[in-house]
Amino acid sequence: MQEKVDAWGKYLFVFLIVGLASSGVSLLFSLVEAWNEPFYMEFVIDLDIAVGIFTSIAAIIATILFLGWIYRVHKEYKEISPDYPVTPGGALCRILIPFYNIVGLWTIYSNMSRFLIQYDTSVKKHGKRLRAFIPYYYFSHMIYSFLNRRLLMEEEYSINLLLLTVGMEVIVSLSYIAMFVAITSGLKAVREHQQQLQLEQEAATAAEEAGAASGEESEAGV
Amino acid sequence: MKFNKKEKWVLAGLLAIPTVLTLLLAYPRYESFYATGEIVSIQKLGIDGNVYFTYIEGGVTANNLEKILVQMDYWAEERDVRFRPMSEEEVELDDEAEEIGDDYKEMVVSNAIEVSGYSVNQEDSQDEKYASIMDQAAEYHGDSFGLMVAIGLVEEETGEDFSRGGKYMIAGTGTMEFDGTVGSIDGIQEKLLTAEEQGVTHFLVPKDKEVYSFFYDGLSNQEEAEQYQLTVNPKMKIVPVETLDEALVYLASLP
Repeated sequence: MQEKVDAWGKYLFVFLIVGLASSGVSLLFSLVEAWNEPFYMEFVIDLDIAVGIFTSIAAIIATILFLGWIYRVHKEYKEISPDYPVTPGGALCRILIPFYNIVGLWTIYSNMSRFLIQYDTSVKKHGKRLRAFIPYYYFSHMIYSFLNRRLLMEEEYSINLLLLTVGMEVIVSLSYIAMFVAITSGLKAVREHQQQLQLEQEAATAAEEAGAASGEESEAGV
Repeated sequence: MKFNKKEKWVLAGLLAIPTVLTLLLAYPRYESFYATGEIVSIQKLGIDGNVYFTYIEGGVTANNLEKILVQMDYWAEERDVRFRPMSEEEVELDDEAEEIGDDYKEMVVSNAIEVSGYSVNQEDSQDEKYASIMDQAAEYHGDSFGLMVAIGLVEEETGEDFSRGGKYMIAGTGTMEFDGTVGSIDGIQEKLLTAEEQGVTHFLVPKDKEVYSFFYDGLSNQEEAEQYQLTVNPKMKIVPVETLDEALVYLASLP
C-alpha cells in the first residue's frame, strides 16, 4: 500500500514541477506578447502554442495522477485509523462533484489536518502546517478556475485577462506543490509514529515474555 | 526523491505522452479549409441588380490542433469541411494577402465600376457608388465577387434584368481585372455546392484553363467546375466565362 502511494506521489510531484515550469514559461511569453506584439507574432507564437498544448496535456495527466494519489492517501489513512472521517471514494466525490466540491475541496484537507493534529507533537506540526496552507490553496485554486473559465468564454481577446490568468496559474501551481509537500510529510510522520508505536508494542511484548520466562525460571529454582 | 528502475520507466512513459502529442499537434503544417456558405443578392451591396454572388467559409490552419478544432466545429454543425495542404509559397502569398487586407477587394470593385461602364462620364457618381459598395461589402472578405458586382452594375445602368423577372437565379464567382478579364478564385468546389444547395439555375465561373498554371499549382477553376459537372451532375448550368463581355453576351442570350 505504502509503495503505491509513494510511487503515485513521485509521479505527481514531477508533473507538478513540470506544470509550474510550463506555466512560468507561458507567463514569460504572455509578457512578451503584452510588451511587443509584432515580435511575439513573428517569433514566439508557435512556441507559445506548443507550450500551451504541452501544459494542457500535462495538466490532464497530473489531474489523473492527483485523483489516484489522493484516493490511495485516504485508503492508507483509513487503514491506519478506521475512524478517519473521509473514505477514499468520499474524497474523490468531494473533488469531482460540481458545487459539492466548493465545500468538499476544503473539508478534505481540514479533516486531514484535524486528524494529524490529534497526534503528538511530531505529527501535530504537520497537521498545523497543512491547516495553514488550506486557505492559500483553496482560494488560489478557485480564483484560477474562475479566471480560466472567463478567459475561455470571453468573446473579445484581452491581454490583461490573459496575463492575470497565467500569473494566477503560476501561483496556483506553487500552492499545489506546497499542499503536496504538506500532505506527504504529514503522511510520513503518521507512518513513523505508527512504526514507533509498533516498535514500542513489540518491545513491551518482548519484555513481558522475558519477564514471564524469568518468573518461570525463579519458580523452578524455589 | 529516489526512483527505482520501474518507476523511472513509468515516469518516462508518462512524460512522453504530452511531449509526443505536443509534437504531433503543434508541428507547423499549413492547410487551407473551405466550407459551403451562402449566396447573397447583389442588392445587399446597394446595387440595383438581380444577380447573386457566393461567399463561402474558409481560412488557414497552421497546425494539426487548429485543424482538429475546425473539424470539430463543423462536425458539431453537421457540415462538411474540405482541407487542402498549402505549399510554402502559398503560405507566404496568404500572409501577404492578409497584410494587404482589403486592397484586393477595393481593386476589383474599382475595376468592376470601370469596366461595367457605370456612369462613365460622371466621376462623382462613380466615386459615390464605389464608397457605397465598399461600405456595404465590409462584412465580406476577398475579391471573388468582382464579376457579379460588374454584372449587377450593368443591370443597374441599363435597366436590364438578367433574371427575366425572377425566372432564373443567376449567381457566379470570379475577380474582375482592369481589362474586363475574369480572374481565378479559391474554393470553387464549395461555391458550386453552395449555389446548387441554394437553387441557383446558372452559375458563372472563370474560364481560366489556359492561364491558371502560369500563376498557381493544381487544377484551374474551370477544370474543377468541369469535374464537379461530371461527378455531381448538378441541376444548375455551369457557365465558364473569360471576360465580362462574354458573360453579358451569354446572359443576354437567355430566353
